[in-house]
Amino acid sequence: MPLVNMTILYAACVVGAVGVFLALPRRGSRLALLGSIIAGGALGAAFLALVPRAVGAESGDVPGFMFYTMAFIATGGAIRMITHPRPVYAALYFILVVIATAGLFLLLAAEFMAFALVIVYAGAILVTYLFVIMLAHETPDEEDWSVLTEYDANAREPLAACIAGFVLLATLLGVGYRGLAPDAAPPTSSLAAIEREHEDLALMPMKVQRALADADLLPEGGTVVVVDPVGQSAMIELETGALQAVEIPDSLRVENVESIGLSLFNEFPVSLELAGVILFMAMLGAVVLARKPRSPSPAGSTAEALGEPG
Amino acid sequence: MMEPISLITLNHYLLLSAVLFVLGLIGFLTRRNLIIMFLCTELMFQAAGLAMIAFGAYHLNPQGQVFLVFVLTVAAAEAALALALVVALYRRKNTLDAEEWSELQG
Repeated sequence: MPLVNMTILYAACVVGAVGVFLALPRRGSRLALLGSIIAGGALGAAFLALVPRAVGAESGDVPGFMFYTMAFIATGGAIRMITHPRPVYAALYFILVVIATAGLFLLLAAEFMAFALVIVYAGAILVTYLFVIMLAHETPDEEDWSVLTEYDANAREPLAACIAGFVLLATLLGVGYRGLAPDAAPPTSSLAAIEREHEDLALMPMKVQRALADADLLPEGGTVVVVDPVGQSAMIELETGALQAVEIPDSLRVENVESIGLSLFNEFPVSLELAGVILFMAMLGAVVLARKPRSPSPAGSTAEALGEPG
Repeated sequence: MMEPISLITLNHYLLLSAVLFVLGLIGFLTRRNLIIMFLCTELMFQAAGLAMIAFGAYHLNPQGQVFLVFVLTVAAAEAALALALVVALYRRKNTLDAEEWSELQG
């Protein structure tokens, strides 16, 4: 018995293609809203096809309605973004997609990336897009089809694009869902994860010291010297110089930000430096590209620019 | 019957990521406004990032998020350069139409 009903998924792909095709902007088309609703319904049907058949499955930690809300907001925002004829509204709908994706990251316990996404993507990148749209706008004020620029009002080759896109989607899903694990449920723990958490704690003696001090387990004047990665205990050096082992409480967990930071600086330090170089390159490149072309200046004006008389 | 529906698995996240990616792809192929085309590539970045985070969460490995930090960096750099290019192109032809630059082919 197949774990995922592929026929429903493929049918949802076809219906979604029809919906997106109807939603794409065309002059004189009044079916855009209907297209969006059809595409949303196709997504709902696709989610229904993924209902796991495992008997006795308990509900995971994630409340289902939160995921579905974010998913439909993200998809609806994405459909409206690609089909809206005016670029400012497209950017605003994309901000909606970014916020919904940040919500999904929160559901996946990746709160640092959720906040980074909202701050960097929605707050910086998309605001820059809005600035450039304001600088380069040609669309007039009225919401009138006859006044919109031609390349905004008409989608080019919507049929071919929808067919190509949804054939790709069907292929992705067909290949991706082949050989599914019986329960790809959210895991609560795994041996590798526990080992990783112990190793991360071993790299953070000050965090352990603070946690022990908060829990009143730290002897007076003691400092944590070594955190045993496996035994869940810490060696404390007392003022007298003697060593004492203290058990680390189970409630001490490695936070999301700490685990990302440790992974970044321990495993990918070169990539971090290269990321800084990439940003620097981008800054220089943007400044050079956006400069107005300078007219060739004779020597006289150079002297004027330097402030010298004559 | 309500019980299985509330179980969100990795497959749901991958389906959503694939749908968002394909929507971005269709938008990129369909629209002719340069800025909306770049916005659609950013949407494809979002979809790939969602897949990375989902895999990282379901294998309890922070490297999915670490990778997304770098993807976000590259996306920011690419957005800056793309917008600078768009501004430069707009100054030449005073239009945001991608078709105006089709003479660059061949």
